Amino acid sequence: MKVSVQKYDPSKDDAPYMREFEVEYHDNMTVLEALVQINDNQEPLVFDYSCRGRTCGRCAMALNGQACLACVTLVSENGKNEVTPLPGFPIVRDLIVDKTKMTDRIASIMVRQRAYPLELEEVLAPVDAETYKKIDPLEHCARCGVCTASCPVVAEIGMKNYIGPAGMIAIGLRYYDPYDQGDRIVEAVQNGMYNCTQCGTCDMVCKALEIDHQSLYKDLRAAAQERGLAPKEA
Amino acid sequence: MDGSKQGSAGKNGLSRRAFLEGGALTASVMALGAGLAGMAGCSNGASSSSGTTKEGTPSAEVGAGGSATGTPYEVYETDICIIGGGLAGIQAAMEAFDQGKNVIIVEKGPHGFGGVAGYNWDQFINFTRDDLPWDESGDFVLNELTNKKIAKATYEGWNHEQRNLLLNNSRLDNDLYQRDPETGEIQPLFDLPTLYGIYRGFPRHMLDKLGATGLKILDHTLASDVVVQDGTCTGVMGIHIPTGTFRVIRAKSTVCCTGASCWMYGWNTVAPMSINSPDNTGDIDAAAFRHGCALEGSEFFQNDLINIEPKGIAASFVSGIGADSGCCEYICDAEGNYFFKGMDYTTLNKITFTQAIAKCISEGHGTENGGVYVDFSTPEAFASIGETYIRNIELWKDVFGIDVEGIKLECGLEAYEHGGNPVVDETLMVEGLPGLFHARGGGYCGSQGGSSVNVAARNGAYATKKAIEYAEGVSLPPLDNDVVMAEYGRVYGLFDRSGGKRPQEIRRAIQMACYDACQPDRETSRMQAGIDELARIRKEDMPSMTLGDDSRVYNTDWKCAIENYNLLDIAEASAKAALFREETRGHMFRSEFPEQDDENWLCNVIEYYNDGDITCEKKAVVELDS
Ligand SMILES: Cc1cc2nc3c(=O)[nH]c(=O)nc-3n(C[C@H](O)[C@H](O)[C@H](O)COP(=O)(O)OP(=O)(O)OC[C@H]3O[C@@H](n4cnc5c(N)ncnc54)[C@H](O)[C@@H]3O)c2cc1C
Ligand code: FES
Repeated sequence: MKVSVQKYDPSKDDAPYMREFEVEYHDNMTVLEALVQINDNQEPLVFDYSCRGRTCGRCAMALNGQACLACVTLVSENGKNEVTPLPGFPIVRDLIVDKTKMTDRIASIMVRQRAYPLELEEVLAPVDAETYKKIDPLEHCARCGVCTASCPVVAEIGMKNYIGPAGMIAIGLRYYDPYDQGDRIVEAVQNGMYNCTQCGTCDMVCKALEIDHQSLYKDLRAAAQERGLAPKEA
Repeated sequence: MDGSKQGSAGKNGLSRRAFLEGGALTASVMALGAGLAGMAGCSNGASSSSGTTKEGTPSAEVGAGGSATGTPYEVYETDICIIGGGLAGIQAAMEAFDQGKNVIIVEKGPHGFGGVAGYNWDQFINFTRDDLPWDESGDFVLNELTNKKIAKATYEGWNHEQRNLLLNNSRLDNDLYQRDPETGEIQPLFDLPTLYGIYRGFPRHMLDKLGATGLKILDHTLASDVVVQDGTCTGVMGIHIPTGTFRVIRAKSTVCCTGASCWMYGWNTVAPMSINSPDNTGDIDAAAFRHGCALEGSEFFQNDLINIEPKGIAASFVSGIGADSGCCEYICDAEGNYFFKGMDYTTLNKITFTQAIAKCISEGHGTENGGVYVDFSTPEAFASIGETYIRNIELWKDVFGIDVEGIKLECGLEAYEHGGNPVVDETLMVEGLPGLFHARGGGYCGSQGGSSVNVAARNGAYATKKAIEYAEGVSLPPLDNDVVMAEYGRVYGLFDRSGGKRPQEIRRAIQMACYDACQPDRETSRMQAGIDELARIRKEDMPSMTLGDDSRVYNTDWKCAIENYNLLDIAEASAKAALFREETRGHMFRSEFPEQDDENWLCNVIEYYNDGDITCEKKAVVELDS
């Protein structure tokens, strides 16, 4: 099986370049397995991973131009396997990109806003069951960046104008969170919610299969509408 | 908390799963107590300043030949340095933050994504529901080899409220924990006086909260050695991986929170037979070991049964399908014998579960890949799949086209935790190296073979409390350039080799040899062969280990090479301790010594390092009155 991989060492190379490798295929082979095989047996390749199961998000890259998680994406025995770094992020080396422009922003959004610390009674008290059912799936967002790298709106107008799906998950999670006291609807609008075209690409590419981005977007828009925060033309 | 409320209640108040898991807990396994210190303060505490940065230039005469000369290194200075920003490290850092200390956290991975804590997984937390004395708590399970002084001190280091992980993790921004989807009521798996346990703790929230403190986090930084001056630990040294810059972090006291060294435990295409993280390669444990500190508990691991195929997600907790003691009736050997059936389930705990499977494999009834089957062909069996694995059923369909329902799944025993750590005193300070504290100190886990999230949390905070007390009484000596240059020369000297094997090839050999000696089915001749192979690797492969890449920028060959020294030392210590212990105890079955032998082995085993020579000794268990 042929696998070509983009390599780039900014301390040495003028530009990224592709290298082609012959890899021994086995059933259900993942992109990550192919990369480890190349790195172990052929030549150094720089990539990152940890959990092998779509929760750490560290193996995000692209296969044939499509952003994916290398640990849960299969290579094709006879087809094209072109592995490149996660699009839209600065390359550190080979397949490693710097995702902090996304992850740092998500991390600061995700910090709960509260006036006073939670008390045990609040934690033990029942919550609205519908709210729970909405929050629970969002917990699984790995912040891998596959959705953001695939988002056509982010590609066109940049994360500055639309934070992208993973950022919206963070805002949504704290919007639903009954313990959070921040104004997450303002935050959603500020972060470009209305620039999202609701095309559904994020739902297609996300490997946290329980996340339903579209219904979150609907809820956030409805709340913004109610608050009078919808843009005039929307 | 309301004692009458039961999570997933069955006929007798507890579901069968809860009963079995509870049996496992009370009989001797999962977790030690919880404790976060003073979390209330972390959202409004004063922000703490961090260390200063200086630049030094290594002197040419001590550097590693040409490659070292003229390369600048960074020096940071702080009160408390925490190595490893994982489950233990979060609590360690929060404790120091609450006390207003200057802190630097050194983290190998990207902050928020490193180690086990960096998996955004559905974590099970547990703690003692009622305010019970340390030795009546079910939140950690004292075993016969636990250091009782440490167990008592760490449990009592926090009051009842602080030990309540549900509250404390919620204050660190964890969400709702598991709820009844119909009523929104909180839904613990256990709600017993001795034990409260619940799913849906996602550790990344706590990492966000840690980031929001403003404490200095030096991430992507591989700590490769501790700074030892006049027999005292005064900080840590290592490499900033993206740039290859050498860093020295000087600290009055240092707290090691670097996780379990499970990455040495076998190999299967992308990972060992372990759900643990590649970040955790025992680096600081090995550094302390080489500085003359003893290791303890290295022969013990903690195991779980999980899928071996598909290979790319073998032993991955977060995408795999596993089976615990709650599924024991559906486990069968290669010939289709359901060997748990008819067993007295009151004796079933995680240890007897592992031992029964290891015995089955040892007696020749294992599958081709050295595992057993979990037979999901009946609806009852399928319904027994544990909480964390349920979401992976869809993933298997989506990615691999495999429907788990109805199949006989080949599973093996993975090691998610390891017990081998430096021997510590009652303050969790490493014996023989004042100034270095250790959140998972040797002897604490006993035959349990490692830690759990609540132990990691509590010990991280406790070790830091003690580290702060220690720091108050010391001042930092001037930095000894020779000490820095020795380590600088060691790690940069790796660039000057040629003609040897690449680090990846050597890594695989270490992993396979370690597995031969340390897997749960322990057979003397195979263990000895593993030990011989580790000795051969040390003698023949390591001196000429050669990087395939000469870049300073994110050089994973270099990183792998540095870690190999540590993995090899820990692997050899563990393998030798495993062979030394001639009985069956903990998560292992030794076919030549199939019984637990309290007459000869009711003791800990410690290992010493002497110039590459590793030896084992017996050590008496520390009881309260010893
Ligand atoms: C996948 C998995 C799931 C588990 N689930 C549960 C559960 O649900 N409930 C439970 O009670 N227990 C569970 N356990 C056990 C428990 O999670 C672990 O015992 C716990 O995570 C240990 O925390 P830690 O801080 O020791 O390790 P980690 O959280 O892994 O932290 C170690 C940190 O140190 C860093 N590090 C390592 N080496 C270096 C170095 N040289 N320089 C700088 N940084 C370094 C790593 O990058 C990492 O961030 C699980 C274990 C695993 C592996
Ligand atoms: S390795 Fe963690 S998401 Fe792929």
